[in-house]
Amino acid sequence: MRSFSLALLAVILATPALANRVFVSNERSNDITVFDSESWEVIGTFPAGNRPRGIAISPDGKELYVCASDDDLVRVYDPETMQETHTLPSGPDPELFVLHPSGNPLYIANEDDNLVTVVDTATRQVLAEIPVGVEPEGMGISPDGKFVINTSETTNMAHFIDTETYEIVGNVLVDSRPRFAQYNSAGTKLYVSAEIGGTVSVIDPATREIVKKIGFEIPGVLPEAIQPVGVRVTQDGKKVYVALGPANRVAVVDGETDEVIDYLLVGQRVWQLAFTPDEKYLFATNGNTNDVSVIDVQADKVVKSVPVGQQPWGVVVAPNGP
Amino acid sequence: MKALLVTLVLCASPAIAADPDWPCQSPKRPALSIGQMWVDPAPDATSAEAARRPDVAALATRLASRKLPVEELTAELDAFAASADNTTLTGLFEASFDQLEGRRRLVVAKIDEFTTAQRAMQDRIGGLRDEMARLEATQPPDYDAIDLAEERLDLNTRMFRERQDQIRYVCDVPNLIEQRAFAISREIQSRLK
Repeated sequence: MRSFSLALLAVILATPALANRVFVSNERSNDITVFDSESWEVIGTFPAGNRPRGIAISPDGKELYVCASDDDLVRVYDPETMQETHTLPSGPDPELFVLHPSGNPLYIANEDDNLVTVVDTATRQVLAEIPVGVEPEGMGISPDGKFVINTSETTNMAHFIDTETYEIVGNVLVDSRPRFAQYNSAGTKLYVSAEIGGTVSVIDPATREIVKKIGFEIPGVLPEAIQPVGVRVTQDGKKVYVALGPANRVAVVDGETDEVIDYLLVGQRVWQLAFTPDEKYLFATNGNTNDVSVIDVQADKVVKSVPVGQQPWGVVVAPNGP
Repeated sequence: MKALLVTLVLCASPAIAADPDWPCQSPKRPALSIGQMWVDPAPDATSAEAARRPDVAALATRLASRKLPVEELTAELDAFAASADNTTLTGLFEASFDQLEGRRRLVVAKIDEFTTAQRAMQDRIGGLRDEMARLEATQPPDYDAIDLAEERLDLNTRMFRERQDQIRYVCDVPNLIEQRAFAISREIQSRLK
């Protein structure tokens, strides 16, 4: 009996059912920090080329993609072994990308060339180069995979790109320096953050009209410090989290009314966000404090700071295993 | 009606107007605000008074000086915090913040001055190029004058480029000061009762 319970215990210890690996791209130390989503212990660090920024993982959790911005390519890693397996062509200066919900293709923003490059992750071939506005930056994709959204920093637009024809089918003018585009999972709202404008535009994807502009006011913080960047929405669409850059806050927004509920003090220059698959925690990269803040989503409280590499930029959490 | 229009314009204007001349990669933020780093207890008249106490101001000066890493001041902070209430600790952060913010503003002003000087140099280089073109087009050519003008053009261009390279390092300074202020805020907040 005793050996049975010991064996059971060993099995339980060996299969941390809810733990996932969290990958953080560190723009300045040129590496990726890996930590455990439950214990927040750092598992390891591995080099990731020059200036790693955008980071994504395949839906099956088998390939980790990193935009190595100064290498002009996407590096692909095995998330288990942390070894580089191959690279993908990306076009010049890739900063951010988004993966099709099926895991293929990858849509990459090329900031210097005013292009979005579409790459087949299996054949490693460029499928298309789509001319967009000046300084393309943010990338989002509709949950049905039919539209890719690219935001252009200088043109101040969100471009709707048809994923079948690779044509721009609509443009929405948003506020200054749009940074990030994120749909809710129902596909009924598209959130576009504007770093200099200091707002998040809520767009109805059906009409391509702005239905609301979320503004941010934090007592004791000058408006110029409020620079919205990363946006994430809970699966049920009820809560939206917005990273506010040098305001050092993550805003919690009601996903139904699009009103701000709370501001959470995190680290310095908070940039990108990622949920655990069960949405128990939200991780926020803090570029100037070199750490990741762990937010308890239920309580909307910051519960921990995890030290990572220098100038953390992007973050992705591995999906649950089979 | 006019008031309404003004309000509309104010609402529509971005939170920060991008300064096209700002030479640094991160957007220009002329000033920091204490709320970026400190939430609770809210600074008030009592904490501001505490900030002016000589012992508080002296420790704030040591914290704000970038000579020592913040980690090396933890023992001093512990000793201070042992007998300080939350209002005094808030005052300590206010005093440290004010010193660092003052220094940061100066650096931002220096970067602005630098940008003005670079723009003037750019104009001068443009003038020298015009002068070169004029000399080269003159018949018969005055080779001594052309050599002299070319030398001046090279020198000015080199100076301009060297200064432009240096600015990258200067651009980091407002950021380093902000990092220091935030690190201090975390240290003090962790000692609140």
